Amino acid sequence: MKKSISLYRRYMPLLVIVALLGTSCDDFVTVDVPGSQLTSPTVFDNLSTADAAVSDIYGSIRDAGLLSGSSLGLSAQMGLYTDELDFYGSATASQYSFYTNSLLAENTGVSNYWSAAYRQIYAANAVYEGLSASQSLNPDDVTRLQGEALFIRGLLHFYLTSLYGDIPYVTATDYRTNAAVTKIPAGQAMERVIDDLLQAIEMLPPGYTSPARARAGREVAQSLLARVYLYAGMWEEAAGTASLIIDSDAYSLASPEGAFLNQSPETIWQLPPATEGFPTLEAGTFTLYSAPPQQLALSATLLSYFDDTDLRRALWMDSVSDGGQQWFFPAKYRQVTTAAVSTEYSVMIRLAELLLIRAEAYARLGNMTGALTDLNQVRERAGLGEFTSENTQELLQEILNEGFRELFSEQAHRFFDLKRFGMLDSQLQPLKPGWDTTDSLLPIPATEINLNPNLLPQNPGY
Amino acid sequence: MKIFSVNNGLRALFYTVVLAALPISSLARAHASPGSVAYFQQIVSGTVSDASGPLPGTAIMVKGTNRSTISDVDGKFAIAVASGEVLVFSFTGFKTVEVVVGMQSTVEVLLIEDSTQLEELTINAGYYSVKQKESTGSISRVTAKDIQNQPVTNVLSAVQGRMAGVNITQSTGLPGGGFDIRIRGQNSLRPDGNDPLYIIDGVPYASQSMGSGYTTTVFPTGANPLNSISPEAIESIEVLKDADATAIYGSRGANGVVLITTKKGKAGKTSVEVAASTAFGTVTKFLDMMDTRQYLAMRKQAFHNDGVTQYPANAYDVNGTWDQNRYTDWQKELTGRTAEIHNLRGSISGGSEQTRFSVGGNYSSQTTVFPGNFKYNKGGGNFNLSHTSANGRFSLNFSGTYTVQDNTLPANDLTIVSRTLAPNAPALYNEDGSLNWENSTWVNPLAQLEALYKAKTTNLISNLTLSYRPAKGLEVKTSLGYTTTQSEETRINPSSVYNPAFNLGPAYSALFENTLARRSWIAEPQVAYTLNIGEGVLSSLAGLSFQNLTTNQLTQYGSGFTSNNLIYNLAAATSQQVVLDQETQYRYMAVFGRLNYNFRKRYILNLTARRDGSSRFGPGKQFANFGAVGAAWLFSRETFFMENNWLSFGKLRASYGSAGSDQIGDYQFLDTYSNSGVAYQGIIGLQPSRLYNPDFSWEVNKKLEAALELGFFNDRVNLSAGWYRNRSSNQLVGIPMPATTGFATLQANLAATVENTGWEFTLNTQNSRSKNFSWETAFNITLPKTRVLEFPNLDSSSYQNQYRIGQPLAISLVYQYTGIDPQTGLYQFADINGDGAITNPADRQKVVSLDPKFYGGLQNNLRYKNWSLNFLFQFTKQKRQAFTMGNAGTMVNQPSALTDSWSAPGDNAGYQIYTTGLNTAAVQSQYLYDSSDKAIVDGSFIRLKNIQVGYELPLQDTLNCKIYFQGQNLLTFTPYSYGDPEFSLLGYLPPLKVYSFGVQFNF
Repeated sequence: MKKSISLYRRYMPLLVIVALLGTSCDDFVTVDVPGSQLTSPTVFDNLSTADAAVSDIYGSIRDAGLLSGSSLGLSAQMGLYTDELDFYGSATASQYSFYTNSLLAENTGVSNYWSAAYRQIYAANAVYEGLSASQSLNPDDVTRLQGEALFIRGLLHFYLTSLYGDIPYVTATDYRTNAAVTKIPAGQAMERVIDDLLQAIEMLPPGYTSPARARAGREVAQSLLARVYLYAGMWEEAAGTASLIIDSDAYSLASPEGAFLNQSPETIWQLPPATEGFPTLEAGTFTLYSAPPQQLALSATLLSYFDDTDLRRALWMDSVSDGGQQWFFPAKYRQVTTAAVSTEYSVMIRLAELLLIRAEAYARLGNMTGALTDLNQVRERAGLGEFTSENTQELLQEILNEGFRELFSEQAHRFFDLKRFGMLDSQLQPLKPGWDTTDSLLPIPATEINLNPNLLPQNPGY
Repeated sequence: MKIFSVNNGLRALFYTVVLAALPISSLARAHASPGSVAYFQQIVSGTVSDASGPLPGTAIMVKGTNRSTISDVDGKFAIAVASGEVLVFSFTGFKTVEVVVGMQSTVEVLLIEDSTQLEELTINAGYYSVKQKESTGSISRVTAKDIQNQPVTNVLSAVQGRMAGVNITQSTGLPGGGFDIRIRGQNSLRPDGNDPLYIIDGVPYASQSMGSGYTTTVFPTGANPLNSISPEAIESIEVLKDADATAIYGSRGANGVVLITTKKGKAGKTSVEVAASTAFGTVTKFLDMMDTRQYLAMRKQAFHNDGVTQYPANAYDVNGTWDQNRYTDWQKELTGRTAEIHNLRGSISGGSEQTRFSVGGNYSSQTTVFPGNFKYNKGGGNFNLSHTSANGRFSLNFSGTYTVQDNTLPANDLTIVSRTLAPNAPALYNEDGSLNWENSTWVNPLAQLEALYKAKTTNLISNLTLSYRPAKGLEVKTSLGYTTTQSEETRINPSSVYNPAFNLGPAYSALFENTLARRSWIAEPQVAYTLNIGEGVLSSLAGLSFQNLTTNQLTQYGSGFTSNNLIYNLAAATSQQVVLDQETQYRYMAVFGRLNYNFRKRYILNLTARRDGSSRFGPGKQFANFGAVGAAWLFSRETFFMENNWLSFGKLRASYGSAGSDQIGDYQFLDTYSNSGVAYQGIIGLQPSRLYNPDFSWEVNKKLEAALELGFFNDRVNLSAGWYRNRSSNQLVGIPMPATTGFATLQANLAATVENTGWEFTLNTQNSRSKNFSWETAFNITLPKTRVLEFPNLDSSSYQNQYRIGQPLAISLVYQYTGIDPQTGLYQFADINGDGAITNPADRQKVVSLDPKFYGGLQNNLRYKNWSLNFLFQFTKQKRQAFTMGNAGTMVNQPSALTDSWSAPGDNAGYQIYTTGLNTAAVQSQYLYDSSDKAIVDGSFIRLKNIQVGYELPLQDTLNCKIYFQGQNLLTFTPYSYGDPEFSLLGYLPPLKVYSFGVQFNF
């Protein structure tokens, strides 16, 4: 008996410790939200943080994925894919497969476009939902920022369906739904894009809400919508929507020297670099410093489309030479080093494209006068004489050629134009030994199909 | 007086209590009874006991005769002895006692544990120590003897191949890089969720990589914190494997626990040890690549196959721009230098029985096999101070380790370039010694060496243990630890990496900086109580653990400098950007306990439990319970084995229990936005941090083990055979998500169960142990098997094309290669679904396991007089991915085997048609080939991992001097022809072959 009492005494401190334990342990292992993060509701209860969430999507679009001016963006890789650019780099680079039209579903470039776009779409949807739940923001701010989110969502889906055909259209953030999402036909996707853009136009105020035409206002959304209508073959709507921009006083064609400066009156939407003073990513991607080229140079095909008198050949291109041979590269952006202030931003939409959109739409609608007027505005700025043929075929062909000359190295216009004209095969087959008819669509990334078989079937040819 | 007393419990209890309480002399007196005086042999009986009670199995011998006996289960013995003869009582682990027999007929002996012998026999189980023979768990151990003098900078390298169940793979041959360690296989679906818990002198050590993707480009897996532990400072490494050993580590024990103990002082004369070595390292194995003739033939055939008659302007290798007679072995040129490794260490230790100390220092440096001046320096010191009060009640142990590392390496590993450059690519240097750019037709690989990676890391690990014994058997103890690791990394990309023809000045130079600081503290108050109950000993332990780990990381980027001399000054950059600035906190607490009952030193039951909570989980999910039961039966101590003279030890043990894993990263349960580090119009963006799921919780690993341990011929041969089964469920993973969800992964628990089973065998033999010659052999082999046991809805999950039920985790789903079509020259594959096309995933269904089938090591230690020879063979049976370099025919060199390629219809070749990339069908089939069973080859190897030849100079007694040669990875036998077979990361420098020469002094 005595023994058990002494045992009890000996174990007593232990029991006390164990008893004390129950009271404080929950607190000990509860940590605060770290200083580098904010809870989601907090972000949308404050205008400046909500604004930061939206501007981050623009920054992401500039730096990664489809519209980035890097050597992995559409401007470079889809330029290689068509007849704009030649490739001089390593055969192990992802660009090489674009250049030889031998893309595989496992190509990293192909999967980067897909995943970056859907990541940006997720961010847009998260902003939209977060703002809908916001209690304390001014309703005008909510509408404006949601308008930008819808614009971004439409923009990215537009590029995705133009490249991949049938795609999932993602409008919410719930991963349970999005993980098993199915594709919708390309036609339906275009309708959804149009719906999003129409709604964005309703919600966005006219003009710009931030300096330097860097974020979407109503006109930016309208300009994109004009292009979407054109791609969808809705000529009336394309011409009508383009007119809203062309006929407004807000934009005018700049001199060829000034067209890509960040003060250009021609620019409708542009993306400033990450830090003031930086050059554009495009300048880094395309500028050559020595011959022969290490990565990219303009193709002989493109050069053959230019007359000697074309100001764009002199001002939007430059060349390097090794003494014998000469190589040309896009030089629309001329600031190549970091400076005190940036003189150029990455231009996404500009007035010249709107003129070409309306010219094509008019031509397809039979309005030859209107088409020629718009086309010749672009030609005149380039120092070219008037084009006069009212033959529909000739005029459309000239509009296509003008687009090639005007918009080369800008976000794969050449590919989308040839595709819309149904001329991918006829134009590229003779020039590119690896070209196949099925190359009009990129493959759905293999990793994505593995993770979500609802994305099957794979596009033909892959 | 009866010779044999009646064996009853009461009496045993009496002995137990009395023996523990009374001095031996009084006991002896109490039982002494007058007997008849005789010159002849008489029977002397008595009891042998130790501090805890009767000691069965004690060998009792009459000195100088062959008369002997063994004490029975109650410690009793009887032996015929004459007056004046000497009885010798010996028991392994105890001091031998000699008793002169006089007039008495009974002898009572108390054996005292021999602390010097005990050190070899006691193993560290973390919160407690156990005698190896009485351990109920599975614990592997490597000591300083095997680790020291090896020319390695990372301790994991020194223990490769030495422990059963522990598979270690080196991930780069560059100093400062990392290792992969898997203890009993992969438990978690998350590849980075399988690291063990590292405990250094009682203090947990965060082993996650310290690098940043912006700076640590040269290592495949980042800078490894374990490089901060100098192998020279280590006394022993114990690896805890089964539930019995790991459950006391609760939520962090699922993947095993690695206990590292640093050197401590020994009582006695002050001893000094100094050792120095110089070593030379080269790449273990180069690939057999095409020479210029083979390469150009390939290129020309490829153009021919593609129908290209005019070589393109940029096909410099074949169009005449480059010299077609030139040949450079690029592997030799770029990775063929000899790395120099220097090691220097010294230590002083000594002290009294009460106060002991040890102070040590070490320095090592290592250069690389790349051209240029790159160097890794490491210096460190360690000390240990222990003190016990005069009455033995209070004791203190204070230890600290401080290490500084300074690493300068090229920012990019040249291994991949060395394997892909055309063999007729231009010379590296012009005649004037400047880099040759051959009129801008190539990128000179040496220019890459201008881009530097530098890392400075300091690391302090300190531990203070205070212990007080207020009463017999009771110990109150607190272990306090503090660890801090600071790492400053930079990577520069100066404009000088570019071709000078580009005229890119310092305005194009860039600097990346990453600083990381980890600080952690731990406090673990504990109470231990030992009590004799019945014929056994009950040991109990209870404790609390509180831990806090704070990590601060700042990653910055600067670009545009006015001069490359200012490139390390961020303030001199035209633009600066903070990429990451974050502080994370990890909090952890636990209560743990152990109850161990050792009945008659034969039946042992060990219960361990832990309840712990982690800040890595959301509210309501933070706490969980883990526990284990272990049991051992030392059947060789049973009476019916006592007389057996060939089986000296036999133990059967088994354990079952659970441990967990919280290796998921911090804050993953929060719904937050974080800084993206990306600016847009002067606004730093906020981006969604992750897909929101607050409900995930612990991963649970249930472990079952049974083992048999045998010792033969007085323990000269020791054999252990163990079987284990670990089942890891409630898998805590980043579930891969399709991009349409906006993220690549979702943190969640999966109802999947992964099972690891295996057999582990170790055999240690002392083949010879005479004065002049001794020979010991240690062999271990592990036959592991991992399989996905359960995976509900695998077919509709995002893992459906990654795992298969019943198959290991490390599988590749591949196409089935069927041969080359002799007409088209294209690789052919089995069309599993018969749709006429080879498609993913429908035809990519063949399962190939990349798990090792078995692995192990064979160590031999031989000594002849002053000479010693130790060598370790490491072996693994496994499959490996072949190193493929895309389409043969592009401007990329290929293994020489690819000369055997198809060139005309009817050819029966080993490889398909060459193409420059224009043949889409060939590009496609090459891709399928790389993802087919044909590209997975036998990667088994037997490697002479380590060999040491030493010679002890015959000097005076007080000075010992040993000179030695050490070799690492000297021989590798493998059918694998794609470089070093050990490691699977393509394009990184493999482990080196090292020759080391050293000298060691003790005085």
